[in-house]
Amino acid sequence: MKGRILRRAVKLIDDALDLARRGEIELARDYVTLAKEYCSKTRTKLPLNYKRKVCRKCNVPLIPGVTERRRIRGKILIRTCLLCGWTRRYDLRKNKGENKEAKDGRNRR
Amino acid sequence: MRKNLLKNKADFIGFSLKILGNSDSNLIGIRGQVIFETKNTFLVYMGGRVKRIVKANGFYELDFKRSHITICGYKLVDRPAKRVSRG
Repeated sequence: MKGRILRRAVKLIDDALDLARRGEIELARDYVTLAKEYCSKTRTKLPLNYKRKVCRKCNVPLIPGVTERRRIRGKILIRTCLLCGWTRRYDLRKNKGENKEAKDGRNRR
Repeated sequence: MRKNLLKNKADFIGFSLKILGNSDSNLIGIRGQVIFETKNTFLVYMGGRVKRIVKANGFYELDFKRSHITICGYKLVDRPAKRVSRG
């Protein structure tokens, strides 16, 4: 049953990405919220690459240029949600296998 | 078949829906695609417009596994997340 729910949640997030590309942000947000509710009710974990496709604060699908801003400072990738302002930094210095480790406070000087 | 539908499907988003009966007579006989589902309503894209249809008000024909299922609206009244958590 968990496999079925996982597939459904992943399909909903893919559909939400298409919707956001077309411009229907609110509906895309609702799809993502529904996918996350499925996972929380059945205690299923979404794959990491799908968690990263979505803003953690406002649940909008992140599309560079449309809903997301990506900048690289030094070897740090900075992704910002344009709708709510949520930011997350990813360290690109390590090997490819361990890329995009999310450590928010790491660059505080 | 109906039990399969209600047991195996978490939500009805993406389903093709035909309204066979409704308290609003203007909606009878129209086909559309379900965009979103809440506890009491379907958000349906029909005729180029998006309409919110109260589930309990009528009965519908859904496309499921290459055939149709005719079902009463009150059987579908449920939050999709709750349907999933029940098992």
